[in-house]
Amino acid sequence: MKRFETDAIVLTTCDYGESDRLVTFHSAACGKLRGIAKGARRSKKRFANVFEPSSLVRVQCREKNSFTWIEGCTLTQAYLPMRSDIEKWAYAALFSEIVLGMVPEGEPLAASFFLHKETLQRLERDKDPQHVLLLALLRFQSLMGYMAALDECEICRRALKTSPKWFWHPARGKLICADHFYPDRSYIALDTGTLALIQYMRTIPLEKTWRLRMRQEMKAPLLGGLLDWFRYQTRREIQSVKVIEQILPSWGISSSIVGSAPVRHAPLQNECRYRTL
Amino acid sequence: MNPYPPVLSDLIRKLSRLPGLGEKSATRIAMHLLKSPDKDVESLAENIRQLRANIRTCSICFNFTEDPVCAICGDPARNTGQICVVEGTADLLAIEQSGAHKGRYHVLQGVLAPLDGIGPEQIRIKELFARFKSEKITEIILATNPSSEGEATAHYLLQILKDHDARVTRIAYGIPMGGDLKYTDRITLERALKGRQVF
Repeated sequence: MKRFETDAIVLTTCDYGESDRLVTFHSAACGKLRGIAKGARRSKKRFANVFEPSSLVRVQCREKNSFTWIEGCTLTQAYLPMRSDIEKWAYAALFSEIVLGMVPEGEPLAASFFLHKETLQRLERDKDPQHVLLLALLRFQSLMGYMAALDECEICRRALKTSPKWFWHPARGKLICADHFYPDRSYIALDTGTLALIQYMRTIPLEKTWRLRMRQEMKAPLLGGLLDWFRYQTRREIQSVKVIEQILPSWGISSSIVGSAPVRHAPLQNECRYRTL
Repeated sequence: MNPYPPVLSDLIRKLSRLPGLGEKSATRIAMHLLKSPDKDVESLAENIRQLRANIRTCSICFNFTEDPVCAICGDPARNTGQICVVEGTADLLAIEQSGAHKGRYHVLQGVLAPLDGIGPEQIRIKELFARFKSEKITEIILATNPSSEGEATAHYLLQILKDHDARVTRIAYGIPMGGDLKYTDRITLERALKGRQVF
């Protein structure tokens, strides 16, 4: 019988048996962690307020007979302001859904946990939550090892700086120059500056990532491409996107995040920029 | 090897799918039904059949009822301008039992839950707006649960209701009666202190 304690973010919960709850966490110590909280639905004292989605908790577990039992759980951060902003709350749910689908169970991947934690903190206080989500997803794709080198054309090996126009397929990891592009909806049109920014993001520490600024018109096609990558890898639809589709138009915000735009081409006149704050 | 006859195993399996029931409780219920008088078991089966055949949702508030309009919506003594928005019928019953609300209700039949793909179109938000056209609403009381989903749903409603003339209020957060401060979680305590009133 092994006992352990770890920081974790609550991903989902569901009822289990008569009074228990099955909770899935994104943990620092063992990646995706699924555990049973015995009597959690009955007792309001032992597990009060700790299993709310996207809450940061400290969880104590015991492993027995190939099951993980949650013995205790303490709330570290509830990110309450996010609940009063439906857009931020929905983006947090979207990121959780992607983590749920991509992070393996039982394999420690501390970097992805810290990225998730930082993303929630940034979503809570940043004025541009869509931008936070975009940076988090780019960083996550890179962390999980799915991002291609993005330094040359896959067909002619032409270097990045020798062409202003590029076409990226985030799901398959392909990057091709304008000379070899054929009309295909799955490719995103990007400029050299945006690609250089993405490359730069991979080399810097996490805390500096949030200082990068993408061009406004690049955000929607990039987000759409990253969501396509998730759909391609997991072979399933993203439930939270369906909800965001419904919520954002009523907010008066364009539903550009939804990957249903027919062709995600962005203007290429200006170079993207990054700035340090 | 399964020790029970197939009919009994099948019943246990079906009962254990009901919310809050595990296999042990389902077996207990099945055994109890086996020992009960025929009349009682047949009456229970008839009740379940009638439940499916006769119970529907109220055309105004979406509470469960046998008639097209539920008893609360049909009661002329109720304050028609005050609508309490709840997640489900169980919440409505809890508020009704308290006797504190004399207005009408609107049952959302769920809350926003992005990971389950439940958005505003999957719950009864559109129908709440339709009531503004047919009723003279002066106050909307948001009584969704203080969970992450319930809070987000309440804030979503608050945002989309801001263009209407009705006053939008939210039920208070705090320490339950007979509760103990030392056992209260820190979020509840924090909200109880923030929402304190002149005594």
